[in-house]
This record gives sequence, structure tokens and C-alpha cells, in this order.
Amino acid sequence: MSAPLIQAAGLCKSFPGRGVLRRGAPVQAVREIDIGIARGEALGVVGESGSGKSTLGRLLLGLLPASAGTILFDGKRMPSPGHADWRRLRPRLQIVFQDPYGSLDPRRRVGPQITDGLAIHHLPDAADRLAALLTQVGLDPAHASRFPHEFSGGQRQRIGIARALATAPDFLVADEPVSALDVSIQAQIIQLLASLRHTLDLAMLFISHDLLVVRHLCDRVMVLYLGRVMESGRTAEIFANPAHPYTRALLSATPRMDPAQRSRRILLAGDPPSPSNPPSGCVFRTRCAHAIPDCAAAIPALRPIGPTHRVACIRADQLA
Amino acid sequence: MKRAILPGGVVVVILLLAVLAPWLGLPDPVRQDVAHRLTGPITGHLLGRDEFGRDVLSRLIWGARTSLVVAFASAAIAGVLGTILGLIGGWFRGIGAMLAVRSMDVVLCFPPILLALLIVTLLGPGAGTLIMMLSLLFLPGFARVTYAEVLSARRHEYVEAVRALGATSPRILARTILPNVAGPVLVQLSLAVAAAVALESGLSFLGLGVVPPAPSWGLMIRGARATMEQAPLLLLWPCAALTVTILAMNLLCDAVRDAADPRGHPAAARPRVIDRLLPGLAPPANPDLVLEMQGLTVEIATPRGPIRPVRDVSLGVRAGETLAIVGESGSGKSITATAIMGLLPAAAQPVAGHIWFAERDLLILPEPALRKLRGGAMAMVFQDPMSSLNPVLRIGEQIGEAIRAHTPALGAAARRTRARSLLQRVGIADPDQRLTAYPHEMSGGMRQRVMIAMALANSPRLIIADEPTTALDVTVQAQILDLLADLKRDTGTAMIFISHSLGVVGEIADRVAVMYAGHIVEQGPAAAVFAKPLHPYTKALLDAAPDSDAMPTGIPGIVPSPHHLPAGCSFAPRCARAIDACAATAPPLEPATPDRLVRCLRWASA
Repeated sequence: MSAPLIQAAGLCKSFPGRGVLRRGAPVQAVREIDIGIARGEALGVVGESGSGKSTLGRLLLGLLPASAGTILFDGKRMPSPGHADWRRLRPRLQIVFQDPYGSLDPRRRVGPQITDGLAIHHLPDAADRLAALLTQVGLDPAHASRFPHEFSGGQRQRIGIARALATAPDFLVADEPVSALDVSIQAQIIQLLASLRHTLDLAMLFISHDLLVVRHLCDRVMVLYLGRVMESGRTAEIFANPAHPYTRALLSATPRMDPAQRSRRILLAGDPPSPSNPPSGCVFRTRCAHAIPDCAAAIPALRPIGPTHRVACIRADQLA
Repeated sequence: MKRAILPGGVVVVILLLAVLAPWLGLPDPVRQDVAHRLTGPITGHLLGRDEFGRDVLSRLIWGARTSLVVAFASAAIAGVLGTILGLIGGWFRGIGAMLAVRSMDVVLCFPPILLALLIVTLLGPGAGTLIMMLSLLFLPGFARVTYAEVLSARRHEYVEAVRALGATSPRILARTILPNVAGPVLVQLSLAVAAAVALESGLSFLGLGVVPPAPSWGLMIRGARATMEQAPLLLLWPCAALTVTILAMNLLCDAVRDAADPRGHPAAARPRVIDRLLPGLAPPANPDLVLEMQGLTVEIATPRGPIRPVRDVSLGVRAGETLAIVGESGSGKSITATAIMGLLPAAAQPVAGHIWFAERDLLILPEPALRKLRGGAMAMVFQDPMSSLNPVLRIGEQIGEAIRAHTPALGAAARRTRARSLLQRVGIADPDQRLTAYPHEMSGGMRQRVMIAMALANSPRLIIADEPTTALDVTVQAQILDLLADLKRDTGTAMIFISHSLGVVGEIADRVAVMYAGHIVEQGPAAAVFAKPLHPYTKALLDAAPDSDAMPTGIPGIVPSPHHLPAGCSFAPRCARAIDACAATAPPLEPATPDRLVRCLRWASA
């Protein structure tokens, strides 16, 4: 594998707590995450609501300033938002959003929206580029003069992808790009993203709450819980041999059509704790069936248990 | 745009009259002729003369000049400045919001008349002073409206998208935010112009505005008041001019706002006379079904003509059985469910079919009888537990309300005991404490448990669950699915479970009905349908789910619009196995095996 295009170390992000009279505890959305993605590689980030997966995506794009940690993009430090260097870097880092309805401006035709990035950065060839982009995402170039409401959800998602690709980015964050789509359309978009990643040699961060969705698109998977990495490794490895109790629970809770695929369900009790008041030690221990007193003592390190497989659980070896 | 023609025409005529006043050959509006004061309409003086013998028509038109210049100038100044302040305040927040919005609140603190007196005393009366004062008065309105709109617009992902593209703040504000907040600002503008015309008249009437003898509508009303007894018509003319101008301005701004929105304006639903068939006298065919639906067709009146989102749907569910209706968006699955509950929106009407429940046809049942069934013998669980619970009532009160609606005789203490045992039944750990909690104090999974407890409150025979786990995290979804399966086993309730997720359906359903474009295309035992789908759509849907080891394959094309349904099989345009006959004839829903139905011409040749 080549050197990572984008690399982050010790990434943390906390948001100030709310409250009128007394300010609440800060929400720790992302905590001490190390990440590296090479060109042509797709990393899947999986977690439930409140796991910090969307915040992680925006940190890596530079849309949010990190509270701690460093991000290197193409060997250079990520400039802070609003800086002139930051603005110059925008064409190379792009995002595809979840909501195909909210992510397009309802009052502008889709053509100018797609080529916005070219206009902002004074890049040439907008007209030719627009037709090529629309064809690339599987739409008719003649549709450029339509308004967003004239398209279906799947078509809008293709428009969103075309907008992200317009400036020929190197790094693409896809934030739950298929969660709002129908099943039959989901597969179309997953296939489109998979082929674009190869033809354009994109580094891709694919955010999803559904393990099954990342399975066919991503080389590696990272499982987040309350802002921390629970487990990471090659996709096939994680699916075949999940080592963290949370990953196992997540896999077994995912509804399957095929009874043969259904494993014995591991029911997690209760709900995830609040990110502003996470448990001490291992953040998952309050819902873990295997928790022992030692789990509360210290934050478990993300340690290797295979060539690429890493897990943050002190009992992983005993549970295997 | 048609709606703009009439008010637009009126505004243009008024503006033209005002602009062209010097060239219309009108008598001098300030020349007095006291000998002919208060004379009625005569040739040369169409509207007669006022208390100083001045020509009323001429004063009305010259007065429009003053009134409209004051109104438009002050509204425009306030609109531009206020919008800029609001944009800055909403976009930069922090210090920007402080300066832009709080400073406006200070202006709002002054009573308008005091402010007017103060400024007139300082600067002396006149049109210029009036414009300045009115702009200052309207400024806070524009700033606040824009500020609020920007705050809501900036949360949209399309704003974040242009930010991610590296657009500068002024560009985002001008190109993306401004067009999206323009609607309410335009409405505010029309209100401001109208209010300015009225205020100008009022202030001139008080002697704080335009200085006599210069004509203005306010001065005309002031003058006419003194002679109201002798010449009441003099009061009518300026008042009529005011009313027509303000009305036309309001209508024009409304029309312009709607025309500027590319999405168009949804026409109001036109409820139509029910052209339902006479109720059949035949009893339900199958007495051991809790609910039996026969040939339900629902029609919705839309601006582009009637559509039928549910067509000839027949299904039945037994006690202790879960029937899942699965389909993509636009398949008609949710409308089918709301039709059972009798909760169809006003624009939707069932035009054919029967829904038999407890030996009665729900489609022709009067509303009071339906209301008794709803939440009683049949209950519904909705998708979003946050918006389905009342945020200002405690959980205990809401469950108590559900019990009281159907068992009014039960006392408060008994209701509480029952609510408590219901919460226990749905697996809520500390029911006593939760009874006094508000919905926002609970997690999504907990709220959905409360919704299920409310559905169970009156021991229903049928529960309709419309995507009950879609809004939940996957680990919480697993808990809720287990709970529903437990309840069904213990209580023997029949359940209709609506879902778009094949995985969820596979976990919970005994039987499944697959819907596409308003039709049931396949129906049968869930295990058999998933193992060996007969309809090409079911098969394609299964292949599209990212469940198996193979890469999921999408279905080409999109669901047909209900306005342009294909003549033959609705799925034919997207079907890999379609032949010419499929496009020509609509296939019937026919039995494939004793317990399976399929709507496909070619299922046997699969």
C-alpha cells in the first residue's frame, strides 16, 4: 500500500455544552482517532447515532477545526477553516451528503450547482465538464437545466455526486449517501461509487450506520462507539472474525432476510450513554455482557490482534 | 404568474398616474377657489372640489406621488438595510448577531408615535423626514425576518456543500442564502409598503408628515374629516385610493413570491364527492380473519389530475399473525395502512373495495364508530416516536388518556396502575419513575416502547405498525423487534407491519405482501417468498439488498410516476424478463400455489 493521502493522528473534537444558567459538560464527539487513507482506497466508518462518525468526516475535510490532533493531507498540515490555503484546498476534498432533498438548492438549476466549484475556483471548461460529469454519474446531460424537484431521490443523489466530483477531488467523504434511498436505488449508488473510486483513484471515507452497506464498497472498516474506535481492520476480516463485543452485537442486530445468515442475536440492553457524560474506562462497558471490573479502570488501547486487525478490548483474547 | 396580472395591472396604473401627473392636464392641485368650495362632481372636476375649492381628482393623483414615493422609498431603504443586517446577523452570529439584531430590538422599544414626534421636532416635518422615520420604523421587521430565515436556511446541507466547495461568505450569502430567504422578505416588503402608505396618511393627518398645502392622501383625509357632514364623498376618495393600493400591493407580492419559487405552489386539495360504490351486502368471505381487505382502490385528487396510489389491494390477517407489507417509497403501503385506520388525508378517497373488521366495513363506517375502534380494537404505532408523542404531557398522562378514551369509567388510580403495568409489559425498567417523565427525557427506543404501550392500552385485536423501527439505531431496533414478536405471541394480536426493509420483514413477518406502484405483486408465507420469489420485482429487490456475499445489483430505472402508469404490467419497463405481452396486458393477481399469489404473466416460466 502506498503512503496515505490523508492521515490523522490523535484526532479529538469536543463541542461546548449547552445550558442557560450553567453550561453543561462538553460533548466529546470524536476522541483520539488515528486514521490513514491512501489513494484508491475506501475506508468504511460504521457507528450508531452519537458515535461521532459524521463529525469525523467533517474534521478530515477540514470543515470543522479539530480540538486536538493533527491532520496531514498530501503530506501537508490541514490549514484552519477560512484561511486562504484552506480555500485553495477545497477542490481536492469533497463530500456527498445523506439527504438527496436537503443537499441541493431548490431554487437553482442543477447545472450551475454542479459547476459551482469550477466557478468559485475559476477553473475552465465548465460546459464540457458538466456534460461529462452528468454522463459519468449516469444522467442525461440534457437534464442540466432542470430544477432539483424534477428528479427522483436516486437521481438527486447522482447530482450530488457529480457536484462533488466536478473539481476532480482526491479525497471524497460519503456521509450516509444511501441511507435515505430505496433498496433498489441504494445498490445503484453503491455500484456507482465503487466504480468511480477505481476509475478516479479516489481516497474515500464512507460513513454508514449499516455494516452491510459498507461491506461491498470498502477495503477497511472502522467501528466507532461514543467517539472512540472499537475495532478496525480489513472488511472481510471484520465480518468473518469480529473481535469486539460491540461489533458482534452490531452484526447480530442487523436484520437479515436469509434465516441461514442470522446468528444468535446478542441483545444489547438499554441505549448508548450520553457523549457528554461517557462511562469511565471502556465506553462500551455499560452495555457489554462481558464487562468485568477491570474494564472501568482504564481506557483500553487499540491494539493489534492480526496484521491489519486492531481492537480496543482488554478481553478480546478470552472472548475469541 | 396568472395571479400577478390583475394586482400587477392595478399597481402599474397607479404608478403611471402618479408618474405622469404633470402631463395629464390636471388643474393645479393647490390652487384655491373658495367660492366653489365643496361642489360635487361636475364636468372639468370629475370628483368635485374640496373645502378650499381645490380639484379633488388632481389632489388625489398628485397626492399619490407623495404617498407612494414615501411608501416605496421607506420600504426599499428598510428592506435593503434590514435584509443586509439580517443576513450578517444570521450568518456570522456571535458579534454580528449582537450588532445586527439587538440594535434593532432597541428601535422596537420606542413607541412609533414618540419616535415620530422626536424626529419631526429635530428635523422639521416634510416628505424627507417621513421617509427617514418610516425606514427606521420598518428596519427591525426586515432584520428579524431575514435573521430567522437565515438561521433555518444555513442548516441545510446545500449550504454546507457550497462551503465545502470553498465559496466565500459573500458569495454564499448572495447566491445561495438570499434566494432561499427571499420569499418571506418579499412578503415583509409588501406589508411594509402597505403599512407605509397607511402610516404616511396617519402621520400627515396628525400634522407630522407632509406639509400643507402639498397634497397627500393623509392630508386629504384630514381635511375631509372637518366637512364630513356636508361632503362625505371627500372622505371616500382618498380612503378608496389607500385601500386599492394596499390590497394590490399585497396580492402582487404574494404572486411574485410564488412565481419566484421554481417548485411551484401546491394547489389546495379539492375534496371530491365520494363516488364510492354502494356497500356490498355480502358478509366477509373468511370469518377467521381479523381484518380482510377486498379490492381497495384509493384515489387522490392532485392539481395534475386524479391518481390511484393504491389499486385493487386485497389482503387478510389472522389472529396471532404478522402480515408485512413491504415496498419502496411510492408503492402505496402507507396509504393502505392509513385507509384501514380511516385516517386518509382529505384529498384521498377510497373509490372501491371493502375493509372488513369485526363484521363491519370500515370504509362506510361513520366517523364516531370509527373513533371508537381507533386506539381501541385497532391501534397504530408510527414511525417517529418523537413527533407522535405530545411533548408537553407526561408519559403517564398520555397513556392514561389512551385508556380513558375507551374506558371512561375507570378511576384515576386504576388508570395509573394499568399504565404502570403496560410500561412494565413493554420492558421499561423503572415504570413508576417513567410515568412522570416527559417524552424529551427519554431515548428514541424508550419512546417507541411508550408508543407500543399506548397501542396495547385497550387490548387491541389488530395493531398496525408503520415503519416502527426505521428511525431507531440498529441495536435498539433489534430490541423493539423482539418486543413486538413477544407481544404477538403472548396476546394473540394480529399485526400489519409496514416496512421498506426486507431484513426487518424477514425477521418479523409470518406472511408478506410485496407492493409496487399501488398493486400487490406477490403475497405468501415470508420464508417461502424470500427463499423462492416468484415475481421478478421481488427477486430484484432481494438481489438489491446488501445482505448476501455477492455485490448488490440495483434495479435499473425508477418507480413510474402515478400520473403516467404503464398500460400493462407496472414493473415491465424495469423488468429484465419482460416480453411484448407484458407492456400490453395488465396481469391479474393469480394463485401460484395454494398459499401464494403473484401478479406476473411469466411467473410459471421462471
